[in-house]
Amino acid sequence: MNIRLALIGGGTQPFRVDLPTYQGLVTNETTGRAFADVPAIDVSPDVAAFVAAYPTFDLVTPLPVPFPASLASSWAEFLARRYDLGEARWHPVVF
Amino acid sequence: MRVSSYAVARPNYYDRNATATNLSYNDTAAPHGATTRFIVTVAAGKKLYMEVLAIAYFRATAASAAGQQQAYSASYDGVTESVLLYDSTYNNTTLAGAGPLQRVVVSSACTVYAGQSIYTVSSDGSTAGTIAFRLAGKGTTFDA
Repeated sequence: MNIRLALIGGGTQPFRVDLPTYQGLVTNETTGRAFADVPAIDVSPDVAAFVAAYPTFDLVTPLPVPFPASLASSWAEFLARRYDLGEARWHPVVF
Repeated sequence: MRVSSYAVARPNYYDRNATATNLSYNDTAAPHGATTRFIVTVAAGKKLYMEVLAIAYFRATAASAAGQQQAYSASYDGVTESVLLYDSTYNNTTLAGAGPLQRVVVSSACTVYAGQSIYTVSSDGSTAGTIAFRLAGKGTTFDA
């Protein structure tokens, strides 16, 4: 599913979003936002519900409601379990 | 009681709950710093046989000053180390007009293990103008 996420990176690191798997990244380095096509299997149901509730159409307009910290931490745990790599390596944020 | 055992060969990888892993970035981009256009990380209990990685790009609209254009694919071991699989860097700063730039690279196959990643990065150091990128990957993810 297509999700607008916070962009990380810069300096010596490539710009990217903090997810294990995505494609088709379209970025706005000024606003720090990016659209990415994320596999549905990597998106927890509560995050999918949040994305559906607050659709985004550009890389500039802020979300009407900030992404809750509780959703961010639960998504990180969801990814850690799916990839079972011993720690929450990824901390994606809908932005 | 009869105890028997059978020496049964493991199914081929493409017969072990295999799913296609398709990766792509097809877009026309203004000058930008190094940006990871796609990445795939192998989940626990899986392996990924990466069959094709391809890079093609060309100048779509003229730049006022052409800079270095680059796209590369690399693998990441999930801990510290990235290994460059191949690189397509075009550092000709004289060809600013649309059309003449085109680079195509296709890799050979490699296997990626749980926790490891394959990703492709693009960048364009020109001033103004756009580059059309056609970055792709096709693999098979299967039970380890």
